[in-house]
Amino acid sequence: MRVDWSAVYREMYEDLVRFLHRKVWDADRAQDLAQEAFMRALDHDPDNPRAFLFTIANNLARDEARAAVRQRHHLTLIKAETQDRAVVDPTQEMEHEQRMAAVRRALDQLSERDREVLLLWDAGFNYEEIAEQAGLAVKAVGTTLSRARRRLVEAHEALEDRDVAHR
Amino acid sequence: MSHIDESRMHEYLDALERGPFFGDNVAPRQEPMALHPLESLSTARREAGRWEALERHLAECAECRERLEEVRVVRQRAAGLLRDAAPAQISMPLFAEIETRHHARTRRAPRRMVTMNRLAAVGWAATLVLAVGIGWLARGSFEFRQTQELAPIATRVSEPTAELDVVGTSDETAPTSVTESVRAEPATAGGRGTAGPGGVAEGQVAATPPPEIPADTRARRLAEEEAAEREQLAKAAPTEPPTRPVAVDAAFEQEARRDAPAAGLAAQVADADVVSRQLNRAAVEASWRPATRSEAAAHLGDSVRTVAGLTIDSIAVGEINGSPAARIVQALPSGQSVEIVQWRSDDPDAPLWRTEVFADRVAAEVTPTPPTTVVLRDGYVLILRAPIEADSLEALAARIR
Repeated sequence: MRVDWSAVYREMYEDLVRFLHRKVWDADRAQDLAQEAFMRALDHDPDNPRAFLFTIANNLARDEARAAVRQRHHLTLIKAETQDRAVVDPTQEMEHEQRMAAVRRALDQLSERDREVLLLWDAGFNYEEIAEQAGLAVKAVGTTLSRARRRLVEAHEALEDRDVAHR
Repeated sequence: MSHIDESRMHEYLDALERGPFFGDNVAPRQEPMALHPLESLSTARREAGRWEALERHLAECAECRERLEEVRVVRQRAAGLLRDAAPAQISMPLFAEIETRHHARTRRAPRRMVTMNRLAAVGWAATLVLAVGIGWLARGSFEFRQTQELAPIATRVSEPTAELDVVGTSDETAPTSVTESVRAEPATAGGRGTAGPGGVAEGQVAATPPPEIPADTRARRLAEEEAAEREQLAKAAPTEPPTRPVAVDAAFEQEARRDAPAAGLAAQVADADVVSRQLNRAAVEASWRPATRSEAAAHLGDSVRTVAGLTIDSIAVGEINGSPAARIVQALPSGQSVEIVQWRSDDPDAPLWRTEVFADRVAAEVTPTPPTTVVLRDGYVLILRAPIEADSLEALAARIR
């Protein structure tokens, strides 16, 4: 049966943006890449659309990181229709930015594999899918997740303690 | 006594949250529940036998229960941190925009020749010949919508309506103003067998939208026009070929009714003026040319919309108001046909594309004008008319893909 990409899009777009955001740390860029991933996927009919899309997204994020100069002219952010956009309080926005920066620093302290597995779990993959995406044995996923979560929490707490000490 | 490994505890809690690991689709994520470990045992029974040993140990070992709680806290904390790392706002464009950009890009890019083996090439050629042949044969039995056919619809619906219930479906007894206006286009537009070219009412091509009309005057006028058209049809009837009686496809309707509650049509109240503008097609060029599906998609710059589950009899392309259009005819199980006209408007205020679905074979004996429903969904307008029941009509609209 042909993939219903419109349904996949509605279900997965936000997950994909969040996943990419934690790789490129730029909200607009993450949305650019998520839209690009969907455009590239439309001509295909994979058995597992979620895994297929995240593979494309992963490759895009990796290419993004390698590129010395971002070539934006192929990726134009589609302006979404104006929905009921919440007006963001500048103070709240700044606090969010600070929290995000702290998490980013903590995530950077994880190994690439641990980080990848953690983000895939957060994106909604099950163990089997994570194993396939990350090139792991299924039985190793639990161990990796266990380690990744613990290290993330510990790293974040350590950074928080250090920030408090410096004030 | 050996204790449970920490990673095993993570696996156990992950299984509670997301179900079995192997070969299952991912269930919707939930917040990890702060349950007592013994309470969580009941939900873990989904995987019969998988966690029995672990559960037995937890029931007996207080230390492992305490460590399980610690692991639960770590999982929750990690999930919370990752939520903090998400963008504050995510704006999601319409999927139709993604498709449009994709098609535009593939049109610009040089075509990559796909190497096909000989058998596939022969099959492809045969499919094309078949599609063109069916389209050519179907031409003779279908009334092509000329300007005169479509313009009366435009005339009717161009009158601003006080309300537009996009989910509500009309029937003979409780018409809405919009459905009245669309129903005022009776067998002349819907019936292939009901009138030859001479029997089609001369079109009143509305070049500009009419001014605002009070609701009661509008209703009265529509009723008068409908009566006049019925009279005209009745006069023409003796010379017209007999209409086929309504062959309500019970099986299809049953299936449609079953699907209807789950169809999940978005109940959007549309701006009647927007709908009017979209439907007001002053000039229709109806020189339909047979095409393949891919040709039609390229012509539209958008994917071709069809009713899922029905075979396609023919595909043709043309222009409406100077904008690319496609016409797809699909077969209902009853032997009747459903026509979908899809076109793209250049109006910047209008949704990206629209679809009209006109069901064939209006049965004059049972319902002079068929039930009608107008739907706005995902940025396009759908008008359906069919000699089937109201909820089947809604389910038909929901099957448009």
